[in-house]
Amino acid sequence: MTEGEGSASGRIPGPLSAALRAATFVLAVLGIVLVAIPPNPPQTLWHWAQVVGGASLTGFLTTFQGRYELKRLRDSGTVVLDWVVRKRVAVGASIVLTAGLVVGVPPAWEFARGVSVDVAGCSPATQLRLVASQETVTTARELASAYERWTAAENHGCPAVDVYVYAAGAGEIRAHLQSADAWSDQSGALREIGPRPDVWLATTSHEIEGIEAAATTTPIGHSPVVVAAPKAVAGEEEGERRDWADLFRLLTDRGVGVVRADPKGSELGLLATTLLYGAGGARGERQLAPAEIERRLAASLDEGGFHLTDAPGLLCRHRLLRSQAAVIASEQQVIRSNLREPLGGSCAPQADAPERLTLLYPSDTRSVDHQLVRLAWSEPPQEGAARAFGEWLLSGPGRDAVVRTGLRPAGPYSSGPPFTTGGADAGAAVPEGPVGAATWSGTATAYDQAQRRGRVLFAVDTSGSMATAGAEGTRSAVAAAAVSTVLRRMGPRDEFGLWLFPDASGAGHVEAVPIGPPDEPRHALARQALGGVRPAGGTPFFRTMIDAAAVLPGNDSTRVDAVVVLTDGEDTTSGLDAGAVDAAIAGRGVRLIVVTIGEVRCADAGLSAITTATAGDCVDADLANLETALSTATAGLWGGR
Amino acid sequence: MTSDDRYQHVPVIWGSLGTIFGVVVVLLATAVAALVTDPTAFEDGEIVVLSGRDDSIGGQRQALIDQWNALHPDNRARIVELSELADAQRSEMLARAQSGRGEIDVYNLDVTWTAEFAEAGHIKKLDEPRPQTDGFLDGPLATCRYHGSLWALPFNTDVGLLFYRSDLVPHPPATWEQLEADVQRVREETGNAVDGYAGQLADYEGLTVTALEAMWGAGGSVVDDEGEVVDGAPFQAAMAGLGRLRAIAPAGVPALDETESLSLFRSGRALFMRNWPVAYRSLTQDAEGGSPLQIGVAPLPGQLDVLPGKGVLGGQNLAVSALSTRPRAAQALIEFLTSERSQQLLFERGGLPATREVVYFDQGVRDNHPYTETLRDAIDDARLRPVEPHYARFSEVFRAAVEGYLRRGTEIPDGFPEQLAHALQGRSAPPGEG
Repeated sequence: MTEGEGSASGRIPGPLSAALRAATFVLAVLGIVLVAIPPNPPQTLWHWAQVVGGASLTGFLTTFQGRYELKRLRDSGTVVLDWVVRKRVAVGASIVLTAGLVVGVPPAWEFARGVSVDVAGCSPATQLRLVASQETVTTARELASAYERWTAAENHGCPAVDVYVYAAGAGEIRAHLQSADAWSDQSGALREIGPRPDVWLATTSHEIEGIEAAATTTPIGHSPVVVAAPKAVAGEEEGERRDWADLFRLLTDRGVGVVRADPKGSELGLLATTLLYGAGGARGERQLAPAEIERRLAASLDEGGFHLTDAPGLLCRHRLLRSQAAVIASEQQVIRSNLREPLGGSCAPQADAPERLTLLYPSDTRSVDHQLVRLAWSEPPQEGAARAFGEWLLSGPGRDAVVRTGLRPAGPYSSGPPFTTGGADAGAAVPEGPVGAATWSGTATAYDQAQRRGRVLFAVDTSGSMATAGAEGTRSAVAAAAVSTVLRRMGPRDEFGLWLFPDASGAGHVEAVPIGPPDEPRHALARQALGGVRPAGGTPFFRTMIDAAAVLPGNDSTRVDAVVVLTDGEDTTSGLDAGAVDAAIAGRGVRLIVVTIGEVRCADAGLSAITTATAGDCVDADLANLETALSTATAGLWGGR
Repeated sequence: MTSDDRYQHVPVIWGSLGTIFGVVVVLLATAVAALVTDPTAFEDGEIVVLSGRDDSIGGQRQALIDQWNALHPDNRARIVELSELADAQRSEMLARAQSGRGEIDVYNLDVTWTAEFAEAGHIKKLDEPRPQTDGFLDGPLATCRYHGSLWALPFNTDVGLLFYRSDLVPHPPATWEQLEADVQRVREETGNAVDGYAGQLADYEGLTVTALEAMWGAGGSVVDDEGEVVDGAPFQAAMAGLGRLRAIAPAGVPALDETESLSLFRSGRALFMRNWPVAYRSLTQDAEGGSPLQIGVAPLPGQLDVLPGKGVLGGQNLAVSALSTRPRAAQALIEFLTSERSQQLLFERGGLPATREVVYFDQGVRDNHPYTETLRDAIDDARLRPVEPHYARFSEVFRAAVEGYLRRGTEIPDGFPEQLAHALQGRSAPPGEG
């Protein structure tokens, strides 16, 4: 068949001219480029149009015209060379065009994208939801921010991902991930905790055991558990590699307080307990019994004025009090403290430089091994964004970002800043592997038996303002339900009492349940009293605090004595102020914990001062999360199991 | 002729006839379907509303949903409630919209997110004249428009008001200069026992709002009405306004949110407070029999030659998800929730300022909320934050600099206008800084 025959018949498409063929080729390449450019999977209607249009274009050209040309070549295989020679202009033009497209399209595309961003702005970033516990959330924020910046640097300043990082209680996260309705619309988690997470930065691999919602886990870095102390205290031990049993005993025998995070609310606290108990290895001669360890730790917390919190909270309080105690924390947390970086939570930055802490690395120490957990319910495009984030954390730039947070990534890394500037010994060898599940559970059981018991007096505001209603009901009803729930968390050896304020005079309190064991009749009495509350009168909470603290013995290393006040307003009828409470309670060994709802907040200088002075805590809550906030605030008080 | 050739030799006429036949069948099927389907009927199924926490008094939003459900048993509505934190709400709403599952029918959007959701194609344009927009207040309705189209209906509105200690300041200041003078005078008289202007000064959207109002009060601005970052005299005036905010803020520029501002003002330790209208109720109602604070409420102050002042217009808008499989029912629901009757209930009983003009003339509403007239005036004079798809990033960059200036004493960076311009494009930082 010669050129033109097909066309003349009017039935077969004839061979095309060289120029037309070249144009066809260019169009086919354009079709491929159109398919290749949009994100996978396509995110917008325009992306879909590109994919479908590009594929159709290339498909059409190859199916009809390409098929015809190939058939001609197959029929006359020996004339390929002749054909090339004969069509040299077209072939040459095609090669030049292809080379031009290969070389020119990427920069032209980037240029066009840059112009597009200048004119129309960035495309929407993929929204990614990341949850972490309080002790890990600062790390999560820094890593997410570094990743956003990295994606922006690769994309004309436009971040490909917008990461919303938020903190929740470690127990809350695990409980919801383990429950059947998890983060469903009906679970209440969306309202009480936060958005349905695509990724969770777990503090340790222990946290993710039994979590079926975990699609993949990526170990991103680890940090050894260390003892951090002022140089004057640590000086003699610096450079020594004693084991945990030896170091703890040595320090406490010398009268140095050693404080540890609450093992119930902190993974690091539980790991530290494992190490202190010698649960992970052989027990030496100097190994103390768990009960004695807990007694010494409790005395250190009480005498040092530390509240029952996580390691960042202890370091924050250490900084505030300019304490001479030793703090058990992760290497990363101590680096951050030494570099005066944010410790998270409500730890206020201090203008003056606190003393740097010296890090002691026990010879048998282990690490918290942070894990990035991608959750199975995540869907595109979040699923892809979560996977990309995890992969980036293992890449060079990601590992650099991990190091900048003070964590040690797996494998070799530069042991420069912040390790050198933060006072760490990056050369200290520490096993990276996880602690076994049996060890964790054994420690938890031993701790339950060894920890001191709680003696807690609840004082619940029943003033007129507690009748205020929200979507959840009246403040009074929600508070009653929350207290009833929290009372069920007690162990059989704990004790509790319940007061309601005000009394009929408006200036005192009603003793609904006197201090005593948590038997069923007393629980029933508490429920009856709470159920019968009719809000009225003023708010004499300063007077109530003083009176409540007076009925607790205090300064008892076998007990945690605490007054838990739940209130929604400022003191209106005591005629006292926070200073009077401070003078009456501080130093008595009774912790004051205030949970606020409504108009009063912990930002109030008086509340902040008295809770700090008693090594207690102040927690802002609202009706939707009151039960969770109260549970978290009182978790460290119960121990009589 | 080979089989391949035969494939290509199908007469054009048959191909054309086949195509025409296919088109006719499709058109006929469509026409028949249209004839037997009522185009105004609601699609079956539950309508899902994704919303932040119901902050109305006594859960009035749910009460309205209950009313709708009683009237429309085949199209019951359900609210999926999110956290009270605006950033958390935005994250969850965006993630669900991006996932493309279509499980959400209605989004209750903060007014600053309408442009973002519209630009990304997450919400459906509402065809006027249905819904009827007559009777809505102009400002709240303007927050529902983007690029000239209507994308939502205003659910409730909000505007910053000035609360003042009427025992110490007999008349509310008309200008920011007067307010600053009042602060100085009372500080001197009380030895700082009563201090300053309690705005929202913590590092969140409230700080953006408080700072913008202070900037506008000095005749300044950082973004003009066209969404362009300004430089020169308006920018310098804005910085002067920021300087004044630092001078009148309570000692130490505490990190206050709305509740903490209210707590500080209630305690009597602040002379002025900037807050939303809902604060009035808790300031004037004392359920415990104590003597309430002597307070007054007024629109925010203005400039000497530009009165009255301008507060930031807040509130929430209801929009139909672009992926909703029951858009007619969803639109009917948002029309119901924004109707005059619903708006009256939300304001009168729930304390959420109405978006319908007629509600402000209702005697029951005025009796329940004595500040109604002041509020209405303030809404009329209120100003919108930049109506831009990347507003969230703009606000983040804006308040990072403002927070440093107010609380840590750092200077506003030289390239601040450029940073803001980049943020409005959705960029994280100017090239080379990111």
